[in-house]
Amino acid sequence: MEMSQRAATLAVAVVVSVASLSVAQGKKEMRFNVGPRANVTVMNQFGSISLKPGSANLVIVTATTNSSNVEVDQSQTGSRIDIHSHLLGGANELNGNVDYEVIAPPDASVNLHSGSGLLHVERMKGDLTIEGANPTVDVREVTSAHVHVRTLKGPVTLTNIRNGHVEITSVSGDIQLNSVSGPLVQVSSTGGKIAYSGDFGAGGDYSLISHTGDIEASIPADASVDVSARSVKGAVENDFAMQPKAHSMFPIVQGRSFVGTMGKAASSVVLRTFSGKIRLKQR
Amino acid sequence: MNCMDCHRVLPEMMEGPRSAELSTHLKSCPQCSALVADLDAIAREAKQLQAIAEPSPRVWNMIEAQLRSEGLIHAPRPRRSWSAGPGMNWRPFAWLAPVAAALVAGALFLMNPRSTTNSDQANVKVTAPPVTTGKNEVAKSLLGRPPVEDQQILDAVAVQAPMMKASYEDNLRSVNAYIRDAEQSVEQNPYDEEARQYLMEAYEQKAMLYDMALSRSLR
Repeated sequence: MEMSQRAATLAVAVVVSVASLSVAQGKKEMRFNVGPRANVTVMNQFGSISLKPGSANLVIVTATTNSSNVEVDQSQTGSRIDIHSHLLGGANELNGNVDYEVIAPPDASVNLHSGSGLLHVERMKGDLTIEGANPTVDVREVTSAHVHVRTLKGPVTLTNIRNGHVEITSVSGDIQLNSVSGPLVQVSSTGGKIAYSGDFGAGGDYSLISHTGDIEASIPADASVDVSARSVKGAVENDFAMQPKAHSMFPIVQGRSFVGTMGKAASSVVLRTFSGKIRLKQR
Repeated sequence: MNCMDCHRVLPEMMEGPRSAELSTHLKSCPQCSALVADLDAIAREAKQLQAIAEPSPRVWNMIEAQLRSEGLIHAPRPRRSWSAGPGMNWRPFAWLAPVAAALVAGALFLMNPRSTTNSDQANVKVTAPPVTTGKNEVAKSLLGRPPVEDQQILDAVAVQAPMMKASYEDNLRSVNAYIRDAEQSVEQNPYDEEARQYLMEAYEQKAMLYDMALSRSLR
């Protein structure tokens, strides 16, 4: 008898807990009709944001909140959409979390901000600005767009970015670029590692710079590049036999720096670190 | 009035008179009282900072024109003002924003506004080292911000996003080490274009960090 009473009490407690949870968790869907080249901003304090392409004139934002300590504010002015997570009293990283799923026209310019969580973008063609203190940034399958990423220590991964104008700045987050090419690719870090895997395209300016982080570039033997690599205090390794250059902007020190060209030297590649290691390796 | 009410009216309070209700709460609440004391201190420092002799607008215009002509900076892209959104008011810390900008502008100034190529170096007679002692002095006063300024940034973070303070502290330390190494490189190799570029990168990192610290969206 006592046993069954305990079981009943437990069951009631579970039901109440689940009910409370379902009240605290909320899902809000917002739809906005927009014109071409819409501008969408999602500003989140804590939580993930996922962005995918949808139809040409509709923005759909689904926000999932964990508690009543945070509200989602929305506004639309023409084709400009602003979504803000609005923390209320007593909000913290846990109960202030909001997860967003955004579906926007492929050509939309999108600004995503979150202090934490995953910022995931795929298959977009408009300009992207992605920022946050500590998010994990994952951008893939983006074509002919500006991709600007800034993080404090969140890791950044870019995959299959074609014809992009790419600027990444992270103080201590590791940065991974897979098949990223375009007229301008600039990566700057203080302590994070930078890894590039691809062919450096044709006719682009690539600059990978870190203070203490290692830099590794994996490229195919038929890459067409003009490479300048230099580490002030770290080792520099090169798997390729390159055509030497007559002039260099700095004195070449064996094992610490090299300059040279491969193929038709179509793209300029600058690799710089102060105390990290640099390796140009064959893929 | 409770602590939450107090926090809500803090921004207005910094710029206007304090209500009797607020004063009563501050007398009875050591936490809020300490917070207000900190904010008052920051506001006082801000006024002093503004009073520091600043180069004439002509100097900044010249630097900007030079940098534009060399393609080092471009016309600003339209950028949303994150501080304009609803929620917390960052006005008490708004004075710190120009500090971030000054970091980059000053770094460029330090690095010598004349950018040279190989062929330039052959043709141009250099009459003075790119980094002179005088410029170093200016740069140190302008850029080599003492730790107190970093501390003020950290204080601002602590008020708005306490859980992020340690992270900002670590990253500031790393960036400052970056700047020290880069400055040393420039001093040792004043004609090394790469070293100057490196210094600029270091200051841009710090400017970004300041910018992020002041951006309410990144709490």
